[in-house]
Amino acid sequence: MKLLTHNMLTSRCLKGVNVGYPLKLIAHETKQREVAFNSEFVQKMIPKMDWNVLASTAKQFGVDLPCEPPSNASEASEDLLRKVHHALLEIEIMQGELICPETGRKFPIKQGIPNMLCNEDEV
Amino acid sequence: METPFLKSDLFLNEYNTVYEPSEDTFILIDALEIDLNLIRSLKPVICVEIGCGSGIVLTAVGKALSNDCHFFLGTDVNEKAAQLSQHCALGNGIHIFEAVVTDLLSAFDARLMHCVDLLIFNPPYVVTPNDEIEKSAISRSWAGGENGRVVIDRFINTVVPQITSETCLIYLVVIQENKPEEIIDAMRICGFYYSKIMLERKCKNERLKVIRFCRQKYD
Repeated sequence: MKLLTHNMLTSRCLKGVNVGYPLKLIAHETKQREVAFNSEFVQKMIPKMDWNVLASTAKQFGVDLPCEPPSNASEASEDLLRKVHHALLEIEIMQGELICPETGRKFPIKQGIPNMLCNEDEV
Repeated sequence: METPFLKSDLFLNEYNTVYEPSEDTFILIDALEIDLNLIRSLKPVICVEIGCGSGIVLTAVGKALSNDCHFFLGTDVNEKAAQLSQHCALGNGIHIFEAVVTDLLSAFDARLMHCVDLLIFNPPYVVTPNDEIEKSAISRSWAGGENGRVVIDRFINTVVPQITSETCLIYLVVIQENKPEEIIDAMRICGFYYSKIMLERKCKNERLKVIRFCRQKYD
């Protein structure tokens, strides 16, 4: 699972959960995967992201992003775009857990795939 | 459009609960191929397939669009399907791909709101008793309940209005028993005024159609 995906996932499908975001990410095993850099893609992605969540999650993996998103993604420096690219796409969580911030319910990440299914009595 | 390579013995062993690409899979790939230039021209950033199964459709689209400007997201309720689709995508050089085990898109929130530019769904469309749907991992891939519409209707009501972008293209596989005219009407209520039957094919006892929905008129 990439941090790009983590940025979009929620546990709101659980009964009684209002926001369910952001999910706390516990990584037991991570992998770096090189992905070709495309500045246009990163520029288009930045406005779709919750920047605070991205910055704080990236920090968990040793990537320092500025506290504020670039005000205009198309004018962001290549250096910053490359950092965002790396944070969004190149860190793969292979094994770990996503934890609902409201209920503590854990969703497993196995073989790089988050399993967000809820049991019938949870929805 | 090239059909991605997947060894067929995969479906006999570890992935025997995953829907093996069949006529409905291929008609969908063929319909997407017809529209490839349109899809390219709209420069989709987020491309989603719900119920991605083996991952062959999303991978085929990924290979055809062939640059690094698209995020491909496949969801499936079956963990084995998610694993196989990841294997299929990575094995065919699609790296900006993610598989998530979830029901439709229920694990995605406001972050995807109005962000999805290409939405593909080959739903469980077979007419069955409603309790057939949840029977097993494999039955969830094809059993559609009354009129084969249970999951299709949930898709139209909960997914379509929330997550689609202004220029979103939706490709949906249906059969005649699903009452396509009713589906077209329901999609119109969601703002997808334009629909086009991209392909129609009779395969065994199924009259398959791929319908494209969009908010604007393209052809």
